[in-house]
Amino acid sequence: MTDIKDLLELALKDVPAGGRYAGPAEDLTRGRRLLRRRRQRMAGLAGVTAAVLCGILVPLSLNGSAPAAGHPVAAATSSPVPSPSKAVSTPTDAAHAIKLVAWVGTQPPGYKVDWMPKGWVVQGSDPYALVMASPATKDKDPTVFIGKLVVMLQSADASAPPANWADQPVNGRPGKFDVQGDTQILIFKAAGGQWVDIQAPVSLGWDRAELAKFGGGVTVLGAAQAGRG
Amino acid sequence: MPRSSRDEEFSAFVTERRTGLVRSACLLTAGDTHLAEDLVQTALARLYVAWPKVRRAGTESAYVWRIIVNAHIDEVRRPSRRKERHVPEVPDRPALPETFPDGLGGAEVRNALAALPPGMRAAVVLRHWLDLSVGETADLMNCSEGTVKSQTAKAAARLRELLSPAVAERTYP
Repeated sequence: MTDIKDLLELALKDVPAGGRYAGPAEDLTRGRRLLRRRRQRMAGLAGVTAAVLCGILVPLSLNGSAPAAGHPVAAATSSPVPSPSKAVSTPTDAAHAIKLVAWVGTQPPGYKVDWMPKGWVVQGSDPYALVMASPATKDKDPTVFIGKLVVMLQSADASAPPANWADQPVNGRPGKFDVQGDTQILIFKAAGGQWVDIQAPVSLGWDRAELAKFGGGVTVLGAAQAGRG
Repeated sequence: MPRSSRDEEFSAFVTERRTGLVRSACLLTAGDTHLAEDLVQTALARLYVAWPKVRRAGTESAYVWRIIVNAHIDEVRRPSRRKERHVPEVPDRPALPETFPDGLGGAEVRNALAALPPGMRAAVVLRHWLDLSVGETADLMNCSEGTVKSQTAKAAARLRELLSPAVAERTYP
């Protein structure tokens, strides 16, 4: 034997080939999960950055002058917070809010949904996530959640929503609400005990009550599955 | 189930290449099929995340191999996996044959591969198994072309040494 390539072939000769590989589905699922985790982390970082900038810029704008009308002054006041939950201002524009209309068409796998934003379309749905978006959305990839309305179960690696988020009950069941960057997040307990995670872009113009109304129309079915991470 | 062009293209890549990737990764891991499978899973998940950019550049294979090689070197360097063998004295070095001996078994070759440092093993696999050029190998391993040449030459010499009958008899009785 003279060749290293022959030697390497010999090394693989009695190594079992391929094993249990049965198609690309598992790799696809792992890839999507990693992508989702990365995007959630990026969204979180964007939210933290925005919060830090607000913490710097709002006090500067208020220093020595009256705030302009409509400014979120509540964030800069020193009055005590009445509840242990953190106060969250919802930057909505009610005049341009997209209305909720009754769901029309086939229900997605894993969920029964009563409402959807008027004029929006379902971009993708599987047992892990239901993704709705405006038809004008440039990003047609349903694994990209930025600027889209997403319904999913809270990650299997999380036990409950963060305790310091604002309370927002849904159908009388406990729920938590927070705004991170351009995204509103509502996590509430479904009738079956699962935590449902809804992410909505601020651009929908919804306030917390509207988001809770949408969440109240979501029923988790047996096929729904939680992601990881 | 694929649901976007990214999913379809990625699935096609995985279907076509996965078995070969795991087989080749087995050479890096010197026959450890579980570690090879882990490395390929990690690399493919990261490939999916970077798919649009990597696909545009047409560098899917290079991207996957870069991750596999680096992840393997990181894995082997973890303290819990270090399996250095200490010998009481430097063994006599018989004159090395020009070729590899006949009649070797797969396990013997894998043991010899396992005795190579991970970087050296990677250089051999990339150059001689995947038939990458010195430049491509250097780029993938993030080192100079000179390093690739010296690592490959040293690996070949070390393999001849380890697999020469006298040493093999002493090392793997």
